[in-house]
Amino acid sequence: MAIAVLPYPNMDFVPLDVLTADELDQLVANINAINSATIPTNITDLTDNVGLITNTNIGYSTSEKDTGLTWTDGSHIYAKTVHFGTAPNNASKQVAHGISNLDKVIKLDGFAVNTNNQYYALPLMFANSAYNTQVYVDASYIYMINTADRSAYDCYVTLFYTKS
Amino acid sequence: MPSHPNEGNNETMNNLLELNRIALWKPKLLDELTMRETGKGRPYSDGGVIKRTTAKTYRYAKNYEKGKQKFCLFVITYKNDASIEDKLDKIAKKIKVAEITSALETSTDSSFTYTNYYLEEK
Repeated sequence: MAIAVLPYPNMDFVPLDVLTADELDQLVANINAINSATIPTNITDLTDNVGLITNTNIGYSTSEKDTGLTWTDGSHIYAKTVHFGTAPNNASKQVAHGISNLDKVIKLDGFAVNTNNQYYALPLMFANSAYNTQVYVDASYIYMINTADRSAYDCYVTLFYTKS
Repeated sequence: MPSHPNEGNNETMNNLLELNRIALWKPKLLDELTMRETGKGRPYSDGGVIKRTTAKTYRYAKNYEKGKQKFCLFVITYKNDASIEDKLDKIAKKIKVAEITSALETSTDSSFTYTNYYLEEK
């Protein structure tokens, strides 16, 4: 059982657009793909496809994406992943996130991977708290602060946020 | 006195193309900037005079959010220029929330509202 995969998913139109024959063919191909897909008929089918549906909605990306979710006030929640690079060495480091009109950061998470391919959740927490690395965000930058050398850790930060 | 023949007339005008004039519409399917190319010969209004385009035109469109309202700005122009996205971004910041609200109330699949902003000042 498979959910329809559109052959031409990245089509959008606004008023005054003139469609070419080629684009009309692409629309027909999309419709045919939907028509030929099997419709989930039971809980097992639906469960099998939850991951697919979720991935379609969120789609982790280094560019801004609308998650399809909304905050408590009705604002759209967007997501963006930033490759922060190496964590600082007993210092504060900042990397621009490039998000315009940032309003509320709903969730801030990510991971760090060291040279031994060991993965850690952000913020970095260790049994020896001297190695902990704080992570926070403001309107322009993502910051990491620590008091030890964590430069062997390559970091990715994902922001979920609303816009003003 | 208006600096452009159509300035001040921002009512919904279906199917009447105006080059370089920024239009406000409900959010399109994709949030990011998308561009479409159309061959020459399209009818358009130039200050109320109907003419035909003499070269390819390009439609640029991008979604924005302001005042918790999501909307799309689009423009049709002769220009094929990467800086147009920056210009749309700047205009999105200038547009007032009340203008967005008003335009979205009348926005349908085929109906949009022209703003009084242009790609280039006349």
